Amino acid sequence: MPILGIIASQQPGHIATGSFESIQTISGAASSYTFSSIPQTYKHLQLRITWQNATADQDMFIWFNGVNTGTSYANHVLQGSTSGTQAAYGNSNLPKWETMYDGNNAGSTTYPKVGVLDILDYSSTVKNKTARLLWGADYNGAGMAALGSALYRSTSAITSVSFQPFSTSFGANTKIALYGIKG
Amino acid sequence: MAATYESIATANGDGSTPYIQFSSIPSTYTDLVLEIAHQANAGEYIDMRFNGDTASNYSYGDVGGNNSTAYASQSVNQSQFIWSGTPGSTGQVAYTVFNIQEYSNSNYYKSLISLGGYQAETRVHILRGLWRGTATINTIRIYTNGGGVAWSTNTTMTLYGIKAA
Repeated sequence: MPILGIIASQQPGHIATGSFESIQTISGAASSYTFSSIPQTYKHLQLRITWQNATADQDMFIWFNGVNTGTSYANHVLQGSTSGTQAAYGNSNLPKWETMYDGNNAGSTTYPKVGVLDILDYSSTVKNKTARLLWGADYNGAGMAALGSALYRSTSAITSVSFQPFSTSFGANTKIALYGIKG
Repeated sequence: MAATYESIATANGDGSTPYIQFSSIPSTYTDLVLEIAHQANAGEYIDMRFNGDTASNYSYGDVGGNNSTAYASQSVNQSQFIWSGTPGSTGQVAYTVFNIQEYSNSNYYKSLISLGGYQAETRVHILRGLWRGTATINTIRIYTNGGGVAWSTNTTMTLYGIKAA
């Protein structure tokens, strides 16, 4: 007899097959991660981030196609930390995208920062590229919830995506998974 | 190719049961995505627990906008997640999508991030949460903040699993 409130635990809903594919996963201790030679056969990309550091770090950098100098990036953020502490800001003409900033340097081995990064129309050769990052971290007394966007001013198809912590390295249990979404 | 993004289960409110629970969640995925379209009486927030844990192992916060007012909030050492600001009033449905990353990884606590929108309260917000448990999440119970108030028959909750390469 099913327990009240437990409903259809094995009854599938709509199954999404074939449109959302795992491309590559990078994990482990490293100074940076780069996804290279990204197939150009999808419509959009999604990267799912679980960032764990052995020591705290304030944020990370993201860049595309090896471009991490110059002025090709801009970003905007809506974020909130403790009660009553919310902010919105933006920057332009950046050498790379700086994001997942919580200001507390509180990342640790047991409190991962998590994020979902969407890159739309990544293979277009007629559009500049837009990315959106939904991310958060909670340390039971501090933390951040944020939604950020970034502009990469280039009409080149994105063939690589790189991640690097601000001042430390990715911890052994960090994982970033790249997925392709078919249109 | 095996499905990367797969529906695990869907559950609907029945108008009389005060919670919906996903049990025996397979541990074979990397992340979980829980999509909730919920409706109950006005003011019924979403409460949530993992693995039946009733200890003070939950903390959470959000940032959002309510009409022309921006806000942020935070709660610590709670006995459940209380996703306040998520009421689905009679006649209106609220939507929230929870991303629960690395739910079966025993190396750290479980973090989640979410987006939600609720016209009944003219609110949109970003939620963060932490469950201070290292065990695999095998049960998720979602219930109304009012305790005995039921999810309406217009409530649908779907749990997906995402498998990384």
